[in-house]
Amino acid sequence: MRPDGKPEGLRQSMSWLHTWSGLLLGWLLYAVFFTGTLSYFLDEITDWMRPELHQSVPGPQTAALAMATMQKLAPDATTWTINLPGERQTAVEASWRKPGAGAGRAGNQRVQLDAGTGEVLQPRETRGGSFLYRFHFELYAMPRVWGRWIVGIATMFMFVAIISGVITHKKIFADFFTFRPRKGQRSWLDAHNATAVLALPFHIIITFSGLLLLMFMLMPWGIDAVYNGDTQKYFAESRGRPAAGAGEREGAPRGGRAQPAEPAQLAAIAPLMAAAQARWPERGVGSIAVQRPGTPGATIELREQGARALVRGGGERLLFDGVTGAPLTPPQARATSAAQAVSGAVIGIHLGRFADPALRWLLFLSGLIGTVMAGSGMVLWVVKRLPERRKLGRTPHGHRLVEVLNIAAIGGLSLATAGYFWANRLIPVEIAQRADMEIRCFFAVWSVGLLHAMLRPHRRAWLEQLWLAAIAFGTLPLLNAATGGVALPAAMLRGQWGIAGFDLVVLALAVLHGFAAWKLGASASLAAPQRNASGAGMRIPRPVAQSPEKQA
Amino acid sequence: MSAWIAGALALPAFAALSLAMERHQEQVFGRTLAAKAKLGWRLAGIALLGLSLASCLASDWSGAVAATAWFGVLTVGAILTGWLLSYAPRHLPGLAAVSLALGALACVLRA
Repeated sequence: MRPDGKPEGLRQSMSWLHTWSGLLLGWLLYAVFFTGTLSYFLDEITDWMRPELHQSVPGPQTAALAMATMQKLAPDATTWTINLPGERQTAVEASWRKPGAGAGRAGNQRVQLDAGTGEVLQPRETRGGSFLYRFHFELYAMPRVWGRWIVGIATMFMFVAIISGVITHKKIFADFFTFRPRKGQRSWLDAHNATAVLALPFHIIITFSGLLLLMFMLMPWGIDAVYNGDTQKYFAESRGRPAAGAGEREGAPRGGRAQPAEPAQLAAIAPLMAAAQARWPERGVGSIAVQRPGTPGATIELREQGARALVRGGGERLLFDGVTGAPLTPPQARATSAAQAVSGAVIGIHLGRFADPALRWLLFLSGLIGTVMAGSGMVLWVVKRLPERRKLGRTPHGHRLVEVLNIAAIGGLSLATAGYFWANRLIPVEIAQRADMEIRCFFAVWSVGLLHAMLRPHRRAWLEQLWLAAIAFGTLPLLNAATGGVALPAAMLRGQWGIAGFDLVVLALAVLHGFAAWKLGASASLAAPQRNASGAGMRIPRPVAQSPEKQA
Repeated sequence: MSAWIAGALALPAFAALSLAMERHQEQVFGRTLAAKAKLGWRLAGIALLGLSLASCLASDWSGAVAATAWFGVLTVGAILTGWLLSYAPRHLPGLAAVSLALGALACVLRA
């Protein structure tokens, strides 16, 4: 790609590939990284966004109270599933299935129960963290398959950018710890390199596993060839089930209620819980599954909270006779093949499908660093072209476009996310389709962010959006306490770490945005004389040092 | 707990590795060190990284989780080292030593 026609080296061609694959999909990848990182706290976000659940504080009687409520709500169901509160969930989530209910999730009826009283709670209608989670791989307002294709292609470009970036990077080991502040383009390059190299294992794992998650859609040919296009059959077999009717699901009773059985009283749950607690002293019981409740054939299965193994479904289970409470032998788990175990573990890492909070925080931090990497790369594109622009004496339209899109993608997305949380508390509870309203607020704020970036001078736009985002995130804990949620100190005292964690994360985000804005503002004052001299309103003064935390 | 111990060891590990490099020796000590000292820092860094991995593997995590946790811990340790070298290079050895002491203390308490 050299204009002078000389042959170019590998590093130069890789640099070209890195720059353009990074720029074209950078904005999308930034959004995927940002919303994906927040999705590590999917359950916490959803709990926070339903303040009606915040008063639910688990106690020793929680399981018994939930069972009693289920007895009243669904005495003739074929199954009950009761997810007990844990580190990431403050209320009891109970669901049941009526005889003859439709297949899959659609046949489930679901309620939230107060862990302290067993009463049914009526949380507001919201998509909660699922919206951000779904957005990070399906986008929005388009057929899901399209969104997945777009994100899948972007993920492939991410992989290309990682590999070409590593080849382009001249001195990975010599510059391993190097960050030179207050050196303009040099600092941005250092920040981009540091966030890329120091979290490289995470970037590779997360990109690769992201591709693996979308693999069956991106590359269906293997399954098509072997199963003649019957994808359902493939998934059924890989989960160890014969591909019989689509109606039966794992955990659903085989045959349901064939004949009306004699009613039988369920065994008390407390002794079973105690037995399970003794077996799993650290994690305790995560969920209770009751099959055929109220009949002589009832069984009660207790599942361990979280799972130590990364492979899905790796947690331990205890099975009891539902009437006598006598222990039964659980059905043997099917052995997984090595390939399945590896792909299960890789996918498990992507989804953060394990309970340990320390690990979840490490993944969250790594995701944040990845977000900074994507953002710093996009800003670097602009900064690197400043000398060219100075020489030209004006801003080419392409450069201005990148500037505007950078502000909207980074600052605007932060504003939109904060706006989504604000909308959650400000939209009246009783309004129809309020979940959609919340999402519309998210996109409305994002659009305003884009408009603002187009109308304001470059530097002003950055400053205003970053400051506003800092304020919007920083005041969320106050809004939470003022609109029916449990306040941060109380949540910490009660041990509701999911809700407290949300407040702490948005406070941290506020600090990061404020810090970035403050750094940018400080640089403006340094550059002021220079700006007056040149008199160009749109020109960016010399960019200054940004710590690697910038733009998180 | 294991993640904390691994993290407490990762900071001194990366600090030692950075002190094996002349650019960072100048930042921290104001001069470069002899080849022997350089080698010493490098070996110390590698040994500490090994200990940090061992502490992840010694937990009740499965191998895949332990490796993931270790990568996460390494990232945080390295970023912290880089940040200290940029903004407070003279405090790096002291903070690394404190972190090492805390890690060792936690190891002893757990054993």
